[in-house]
Amino acid sequence: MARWITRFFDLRGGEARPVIQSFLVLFLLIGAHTTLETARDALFLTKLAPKELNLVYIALAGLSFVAAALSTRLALRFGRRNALIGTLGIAAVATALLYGMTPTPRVVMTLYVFSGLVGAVLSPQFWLLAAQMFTSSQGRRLFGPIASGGVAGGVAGATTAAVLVAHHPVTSLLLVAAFAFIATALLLTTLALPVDDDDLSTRFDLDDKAPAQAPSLALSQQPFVWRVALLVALSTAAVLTVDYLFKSTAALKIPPAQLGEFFARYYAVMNGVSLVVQLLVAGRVVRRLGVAGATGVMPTLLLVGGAASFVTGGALLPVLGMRLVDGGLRHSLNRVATELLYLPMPTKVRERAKGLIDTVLSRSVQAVTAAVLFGLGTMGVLSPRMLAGIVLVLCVSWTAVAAGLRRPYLDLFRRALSGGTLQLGAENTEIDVNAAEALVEAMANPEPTVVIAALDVLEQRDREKLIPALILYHDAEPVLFRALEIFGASPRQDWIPLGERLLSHESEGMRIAAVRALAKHGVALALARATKDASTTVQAYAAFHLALRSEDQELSEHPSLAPMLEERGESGEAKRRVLLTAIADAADPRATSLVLAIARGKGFARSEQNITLLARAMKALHDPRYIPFCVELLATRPAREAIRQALVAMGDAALDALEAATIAPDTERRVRTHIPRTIADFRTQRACDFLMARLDGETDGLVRYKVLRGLGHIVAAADVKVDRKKVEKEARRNLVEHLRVTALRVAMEAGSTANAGSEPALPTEHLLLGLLADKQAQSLERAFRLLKIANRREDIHRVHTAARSNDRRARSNAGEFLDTLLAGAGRRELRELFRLVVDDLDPAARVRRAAPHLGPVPHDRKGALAALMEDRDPGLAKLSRPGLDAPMEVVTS
Amino acid sequence: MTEGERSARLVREIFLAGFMSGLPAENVLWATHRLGRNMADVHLRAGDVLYRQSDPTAAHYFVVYGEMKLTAEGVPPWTLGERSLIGTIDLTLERARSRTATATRATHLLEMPAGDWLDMLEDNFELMLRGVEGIAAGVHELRKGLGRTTSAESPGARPFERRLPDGPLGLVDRVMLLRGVPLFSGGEVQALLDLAAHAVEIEVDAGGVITPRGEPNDAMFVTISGTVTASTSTTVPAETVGPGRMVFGSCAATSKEIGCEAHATTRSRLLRLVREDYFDAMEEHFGLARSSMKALAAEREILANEVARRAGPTGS
Repeated sequence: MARWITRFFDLRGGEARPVIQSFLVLFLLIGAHTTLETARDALFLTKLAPKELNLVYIALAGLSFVAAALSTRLALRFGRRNALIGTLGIAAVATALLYGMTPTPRVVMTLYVFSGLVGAVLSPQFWLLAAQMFTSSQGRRLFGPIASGGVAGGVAGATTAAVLVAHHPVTSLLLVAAFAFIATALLLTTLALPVDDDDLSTRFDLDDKAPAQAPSLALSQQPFVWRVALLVALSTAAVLTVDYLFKSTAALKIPPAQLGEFFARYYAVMNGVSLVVQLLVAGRVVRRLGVAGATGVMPTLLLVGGAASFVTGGALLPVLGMRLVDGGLRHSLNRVATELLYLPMPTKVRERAKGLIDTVLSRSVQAVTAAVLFGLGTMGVLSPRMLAGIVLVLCVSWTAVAAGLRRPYLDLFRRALSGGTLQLGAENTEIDVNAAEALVEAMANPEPTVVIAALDVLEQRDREKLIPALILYHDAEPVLFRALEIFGASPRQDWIPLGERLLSHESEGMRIAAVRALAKHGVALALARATKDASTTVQAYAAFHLALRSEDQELSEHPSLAPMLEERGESGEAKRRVLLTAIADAADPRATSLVLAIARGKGFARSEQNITLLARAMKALHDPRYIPFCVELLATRPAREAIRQALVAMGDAALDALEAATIAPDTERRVRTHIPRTIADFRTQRACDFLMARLDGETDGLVRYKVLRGLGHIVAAADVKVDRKKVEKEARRNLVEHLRVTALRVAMEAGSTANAGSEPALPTEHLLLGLLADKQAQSLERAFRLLKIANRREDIHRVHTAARSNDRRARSNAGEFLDTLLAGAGRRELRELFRLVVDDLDPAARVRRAAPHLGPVPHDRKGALAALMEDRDPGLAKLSRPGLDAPMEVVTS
Repeated sequence: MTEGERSARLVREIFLAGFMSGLPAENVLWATHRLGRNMADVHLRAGDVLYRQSDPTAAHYFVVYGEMKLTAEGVPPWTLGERSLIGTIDLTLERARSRTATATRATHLLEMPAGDWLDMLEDNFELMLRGVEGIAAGVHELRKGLGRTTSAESPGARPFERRLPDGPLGLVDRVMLLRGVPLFSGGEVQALLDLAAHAVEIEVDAGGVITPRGEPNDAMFVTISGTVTASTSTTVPAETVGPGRMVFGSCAATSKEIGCEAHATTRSRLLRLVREDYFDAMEEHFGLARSSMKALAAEREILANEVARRAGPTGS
C-alpha cells in the first residue's frame, strides 16, 4: 500500500515524512478553524442581528493589515515554523479564554473578529512554511496531496461540529478548537525541515548581504507580485459573484422547500469533485501545462460558463456548471497553482507579498465586491444576466492576467538563477560626465598599464577623439606605442606635429611606430626621414613605401625589397617582419606574392609574432591564393585568431574552401577541429546554414562538438536564423544519450568493485566508470548548448550551472525555468527529457522513468559490459574490450 | 544604467584592462566587458574584515587600492597590495576560506562572484591557457627565488605506489600514470585517454639529455622508471625526479622558455607528451584545465607561505 501511495503521488526519497506531516498539519488546522467558525456563526446569529456583520467586516479589514504585519515580523524574528507554532498557541489560548467567558454580544463580536483573523493568518502562514520546505519542483507534485488535507480537514471539522452540537452546548466547540490548535502546534514541532530552511532570519541576511547583486525587495518594484495580486483580486471578485449568481439563481429556479436538500447534495458533490481534483488531477495539470498555464484553467472554464450564462440570461445549467468549477477547482487546482506562483519569489518578498495579498487584499476585495453587489441589488439592476455579465468581464480579465504570467514568471527564475542580476537587452555604456572624469583621471595615472587601459576603453567605445594629443609626451614607451597605433588608425590630424617628434626617438621600435602612424596619414616627411634612419629595419619600412611609388607590377622582385627576402639571421627576420607590417598598413595587390615569398621563405620561423604579422598582411590583401596556406595554419595554435580574421577577410572564396575542407576525408583532423569556429567568424547566414547542416552530417564526435560551439558563437554574435526544430531535435538526441549512458553506468556500478569502498581491483573498470561519467556530463552540456542556440536571449549557461548545483533550490529553479521556457505542445518531449535529467532523482529511478525514451537497457554489469563493447562511442567500446594493457610502442634515444 | 553605475563600471573596466595587460587585446576587451558587468565595488576601512577563515568561498577580489592582510593560525601572514587578487587560491581549490582577510588601511576591492569567474574561463580558452601558463611561470619564479626545482610538498603530489610493468606501458597503465600527476589528476578520463594515446614512451640512457637548456620547450615528461636530474636554473641546485613524477613538476605546464635542463641520471623510461596535445586536451576538456589550475594554485600557496616565512613576522 505504502509503495502504491509513494508511486501514485510520485513521492521521492525523504519526501514521505514531510508530506504526511504537512497533510496532517493542514488537516488539523483547517479542521480546528472550521469547528471554530461553526461555533462563531451559531453564536453570532443567536446573539446579534445580521446587520452587525457590516461592523465586523470593517473591523476585520482594518485588523487584517495589523495581523499580516505582525505575522511577517514574527516569522522574521523567530523563523516561519516557530511563527506558526506561536500563532497556533495564541489561537488556542484565546479560544480557551473565550470558552470560559459568558457569550455576551460583545464577547461574540470579539469571537467573530478573532476567528476571522485566525483564518486570515493561519492559512497563509502554513503555505509560507510549505514554500520554505519544498522547492518549486516538489511543490508541483506535492502541493495537491498536501492541500487535500485542508479539504478533508474542512469536512472533518464540520462533521465533528454537527455531531457535538447535537449533544453539547455550542460553546463546547471552542474547547475542541482550542485543543485542535494545540495538537497542530505539537505536530509542527516534529515537522522535518530541510537544514538550509530552518532559520528564516539567516536566509534574510543572505538575501540582504550583497545589495548590489540582490534583487530589489520592495514590493512596488516587483512586477510579478503585482500580477499575482491582480490575479488574486480578480479571482476573489469573480468567485464571490459566481456564488451570488448561484444562490440567487437557485432561489429563483428551485422551490424553497427543496433548497436545503439541493444545497446539501450540491455541496457534497462539489467537495467530492474538489477532493478528486486535488488528489488526481491538480498535479498532472500543473505538470502538463506548467504553473503559469495551470492558473488559467479555472478562469477559462468560468469564462465559458459566464458566456453561456450571459447568453441564456442566467439559465440554471451553466450557473450550476460555474459553481461546480468554482467548488471543484478553487481549493484544489487553483490553490495549488497560486501557491506555486509564490515559490520562486525571493524569501523576503514572498513573506511580505503573501501576507498582504492573502490577508489584506483578498478580504478588501471581498468587502468591495459585496458592497458593489449590494449596491446594485438595492438599485434593482442586479438581474441574472447582469450578474453573468459581471462574471464574464471579471473572468476575461482574470484569464488575460493568467495568460500574461508566463513571461514575468520566467523572469523570476532568470533573476533567481542569475543571483539577482538580470541582464536583458542592450546595455547603455555611453560615456557621461562622471565616466569622462574617470577616464581623464586614469589617463593621468602614473602606472602605464592604467593609461593604456583607459586608451583601450576609449577606443572600444569609438571615442578616440577624447584622447589628448599631448599623450605623445608620455614617458612610458608602451603608452606611446598604443597612442600612435590609435592615432594612426583615426582620421585625426592634431597629433601629427607631436608624432613627428618621435621620428627621432632613441628606440628603433618607437621610430617604426611613428613612421607607421604618420605614413598612414600620408606625411611625406616621415618616409623621407625613415629612408635616412640609422636602423636598416626602419629603412625597410620606408623601402616598401618607396617601392609602392615605382611602376613595378611585382614587388617581390623590386631591387630594394628582394634582398630582404634572402637575408639571414635576426636582422633579416626583423626586416621581413617590418615588411609585413608595412604591407598590412598600406595594402597593395602588387605585394601579394611578396607576402607569399616571405611565408614560404626558409628563414621564416613560425612563431606567434611572425604568423600574426603574416596573417595581418594577408588579411589586408585578402588574396584567394592565401587561402590554402591559412587553412593549413589553423592546425597551429599560435596566432590562430589572426589567421581566422584573415580567412574571414577573404570572403566567400575562403568559406568555400573551409566548407570543402570540412567534408574532405583527407583533411588533417587538427585542421578540421578548428574549421567550425573559423566558419562561425564569418557571421553570415550561409555560414550558419552550413554549420547547421554539419550538426547531423558530421561523424567525428569532436568535430561535431566544435560545430556546436561554432553555432553557439555565430548565434551569439550575429543576427542569423537557425532551424529551431532541428536544433531541438539534436538537443533531444543528446538528452537521450545522457540517459542511455546513465543507464549503462547504473548497471555497471551495480556490480562494480569500485563500489566496495576500497581501491578498485581493476583499473580498466575504474577508468570505464570515469569515462561514463565524462560522457554523461558531456552529453548534458551539449544539450544545454543546443538549447542556448535555440533560445539565444536566455542565459542557459546559468541554468546548466544551476542544474548541476548542490543547492536543491537552484536545481529546482533550473527545472522550473526549463519547464516554463519549453511550454507548448511541439516541445513536450524535449520538456519531459529536460525534466528527467534535472529532477532530483537517484540515478536508478531516473533510468526507470526514462524507459519510454530509451528502449531496452542492461540491468546488470554483465549486460552493461556486453553493450559497451558494441557501443557506437569508440572510446567506450575500446575501454570495455580486453587487451588495453597491450604494450605500446617505445622510442629509444 | 544610471550615470553613477556607468562611471563605476568604466572605472572597473579600466582597472581590469590594466590588470590584464599583456594578454591579447581581443581577449582583454571581451573579458573586461564581461567581468566589469558582474563585479561589485567593496570599500573597506582599516580593520574591516572582508571574510573570515572557514567562511564559504563565493567570490574573489581584485585590490584596486589599499592593502589587505590574510592571516590564519600556524601559517605566516600574507600582505597583499594594489593589483593583487584576494581569495583566488581558495576559489580555485574549491574550499572554504583558509585565512581571514582584513584591510590594513582604506581599501577598494572589486568583487567577482566565483561562478562568473569560472564561467568566463570556461568560455574563453585563450584566457584560461594564458592563466595556466602565467601561474606556472609565476610558480617557477617563486621556486627560483627559494632555490628549488620542484615542489615535493604539493598536496597533489602523492607518492607513486602503482606497480608498472617492466616492459612498455599499455594505454591503461599510461592513464593511471598520468592520473598520479597533480596537473592531470582531476582531468576527465577522456582527456587522459587522449593524452595517453598521443604520448610516446621513450627510453633514455644514463646521462642522456631530455630537455636541453635554451632550446624550445615543446614537451612534458613523466618518469616511468629510473631517475632524472632536473634543474630550472644554473643558480638553483638540481633535483632528482623518480617514477610517477613530472619532470619540472607543475611548471612544465608553461610553454615559455624558462631555462630548464633535464637529463637521465640512470637509464630511464619516460612518457613524452607534446605540450600542444596537452593544450588541445585542455581546450576540449575544461576539467583538465581546472585540474592544472588547482595543482598550480596548491603549489603557489606552499611557496608563498615559504616566502612569507622567510620574510619574517612583518610579512612580505
